[in-house]
Amino acid sequence: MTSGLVTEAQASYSAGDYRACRQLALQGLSETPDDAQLVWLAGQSSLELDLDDATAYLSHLVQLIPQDGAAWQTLGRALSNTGEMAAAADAFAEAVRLRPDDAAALTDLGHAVYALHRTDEAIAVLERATTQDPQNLLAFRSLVEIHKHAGNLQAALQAAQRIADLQPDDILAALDTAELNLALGMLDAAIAAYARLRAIDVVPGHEGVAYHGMIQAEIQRERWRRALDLSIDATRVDRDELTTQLLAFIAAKLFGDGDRPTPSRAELDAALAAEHAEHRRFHAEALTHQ
Amino acid sequence: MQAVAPGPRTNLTAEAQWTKCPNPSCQAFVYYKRLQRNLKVCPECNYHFMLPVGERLAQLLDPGGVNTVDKSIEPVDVLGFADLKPYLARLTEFQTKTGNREAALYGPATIGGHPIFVAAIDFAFLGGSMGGAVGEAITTAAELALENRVPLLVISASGGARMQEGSVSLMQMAKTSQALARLHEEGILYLSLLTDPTYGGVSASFATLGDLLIAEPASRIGFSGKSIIEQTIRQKLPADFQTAEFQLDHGMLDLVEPRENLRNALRKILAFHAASRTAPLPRPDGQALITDPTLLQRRTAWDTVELARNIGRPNSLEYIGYVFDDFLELHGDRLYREDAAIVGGLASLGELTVMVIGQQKGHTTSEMVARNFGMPHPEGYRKALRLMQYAAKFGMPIVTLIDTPGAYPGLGAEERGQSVAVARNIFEMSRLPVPIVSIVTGEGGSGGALALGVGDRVLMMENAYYSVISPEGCAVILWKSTSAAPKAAAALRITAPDLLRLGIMDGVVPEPELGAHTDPPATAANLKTAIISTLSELLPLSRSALLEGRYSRFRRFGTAGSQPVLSEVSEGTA
Repeated sequence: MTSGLVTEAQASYSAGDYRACRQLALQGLSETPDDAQLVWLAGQSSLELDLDDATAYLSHLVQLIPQDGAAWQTLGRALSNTGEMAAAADAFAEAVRLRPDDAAALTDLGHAVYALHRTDEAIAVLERATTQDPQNLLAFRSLVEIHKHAGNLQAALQAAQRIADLQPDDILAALDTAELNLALGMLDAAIAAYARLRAIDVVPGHEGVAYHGMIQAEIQRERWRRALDLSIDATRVDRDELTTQLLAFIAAKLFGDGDRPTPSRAELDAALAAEHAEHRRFHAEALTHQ
Repeated sequence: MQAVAPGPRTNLTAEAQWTKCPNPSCQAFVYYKRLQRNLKVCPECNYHFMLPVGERLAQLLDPGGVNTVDKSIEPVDVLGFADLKPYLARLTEFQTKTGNREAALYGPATIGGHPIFVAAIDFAFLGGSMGGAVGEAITTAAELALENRVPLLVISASGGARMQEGSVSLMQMAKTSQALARLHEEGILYLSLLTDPTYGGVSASFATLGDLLIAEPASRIGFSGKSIIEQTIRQKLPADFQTAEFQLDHGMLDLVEPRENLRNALRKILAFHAASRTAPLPRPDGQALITDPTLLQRRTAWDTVELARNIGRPNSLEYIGYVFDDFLELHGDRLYREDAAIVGGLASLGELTVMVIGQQKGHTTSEMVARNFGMPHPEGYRKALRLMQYAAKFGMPIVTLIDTPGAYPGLGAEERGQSVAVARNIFEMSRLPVPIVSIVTGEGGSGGALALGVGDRVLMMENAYYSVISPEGCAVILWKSTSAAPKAAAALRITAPDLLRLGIMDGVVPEPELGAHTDPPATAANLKTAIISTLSELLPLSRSALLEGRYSRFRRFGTAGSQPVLSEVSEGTA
């Protein structure tokens, strides 16, 4: 009878009917409370339904099958869902101990330990995850952020470049590559990355942001004539005040001060930083809309 | 052992399992399910992620969501516009990306069982920009709300008018606004939820025309963008510039509600509006209103002034908490600033919805400072007027609680027209076609008190006072010394017995023997009884009877033959 219920519950789960799955699993558990398959189905369907008892079922599950890495990983996710990050990290660590080559478990562990402010450990674990799965976009993307926050811009750039290589149309990766190259003074690469961004970021108004990045790079290396040309180009697509201010700044460098007040470099940098932050926020948010 | 895992999750890509919070000052990675559980609000820093329109509606509406009206909302390339790409190509791109024909949808829905029409803008579609189709969705939703006489909810997220449709998009500001004007004239509720971001032609038309304007924390709302303003005026603007909180402080919003509260706030507002205008009032259980001055406690005028000013005396928000079954505070004058010296909002008295407005003090120095000692600025009076006009529009009775030393005497108050604000309130209150009950609960300081006091019935608490000038002010002018304030208080006849005899007051709410502060619940029960008994008299009256009665009430003051005269000599001059 139990095996029939398991099959039925499994089918409900696969069909996305978590409520039915849970009900069937609980029905089965009333007779066989230590049936690992039923406990798992109850726990995972509770997790899908955002019910607090998911953790209880999955904790029971890892007692029943302590050598199953996937069970520990699912428990870790249930604990992450309720914000119990220390316990989640322990569960993910156990999953990794049992399945050291599992990139998904490593990725989960890296995020959990980062939440506990163990940055070096998080980086090491996420890098292991990318070694195990060289196409692990999530791990690469998180490495970009963690390295940036830690001030390791070169390492952040390498991770961003990997994403850009894997997904040439990834706007956030192109943006990271451009900004990190700019910050590291690798200006040819920065300009190339901004040019790439200009091509792939089709959101209205964003082309101007890419232009501003290229102009910023030319200003940084004081190639004023090239900066002027880019600014003139930028006025085709962007009539915002920032383009005009950049143009005024560059014109003053080339031809001397005119009647129009010229913004300071610090003012321009602040305005550009604000624009880039907003642009980044837009695309970072878009990732969550999947 | 054989693997027993039920299989991979079906509704998430691997990449979405952990999400970096986009708030630059927050470094958290949040497990995606936890983020969803938290309605896409970062549990670490409370950052509200932008929501796709479908998720937004799922969070706010009853199960079933919006029953989208199958009327085509189609974009039209009226100008044959092309920039680097033809407009039609851009539209196709966003139609493919979002799965929607345009940046807005509309249809009937329910919240907490209350029927509404909803229109929502999808920022993911060309930045939620408003062209003809978006204007059509908003306008049609307003027309359907009018036709069906149900409230309208519009959820905005937009960068403004759509350049690619040129002046036709500009005209949507007028098209939507005129549809909302019809809704307004017919007394249909319009709720506007402004989400991040709401700018330009959208914020300057339908998004800010709601009877109530509600926003999420930190949403950016404005006309011109912050960076454009900074570059134009060459000044650094404050970090919170154009946030919802900034707009609330500047009187432009009624409510800023965290995402987790939004649905409940909307449900509550709709419930307030669904309440019957003829609902039976609750049975009062306090002491009855006193109309015979001989039944009132005898104490000197100065003792009364001191009791009225007692820092422990219940204030408006406390009375509101005791008297009303539910209360939703609303904010803002929609002109200049939120004034904490006046509070007001929708309240339930049993099943009846009323608008309650009061001057607000505090019990500590810091509370008093925050409330400006209960002395409103012009923006406070304008907020009060806005709320009274709201009540009149929806046929809700008004209860005002008066407790102020006076309208604030200050430079800014004068610059912004304190006299005009007070005068306008007195003028408008005289003609509002709904019952108004005004109660002086503490200090009734001159015109600043009367600006909330033109009621059909005007009552006072037993130890309140009501005066044309403060006793100290009168003493300085006429006695040339503040020490004569007790004499002035007596001479001015500012206490309940004298004001009852003069006909200024229609009744007095009894207080405990030693004053309201000694037993606030009992005092509030008496106040509630007074409000209920007074509304019971007023609610059955027709609009014309109400207005005529109110006119006659104030018409008789100072008219020989009509104005009662006090025969006895006041204690101060005796």
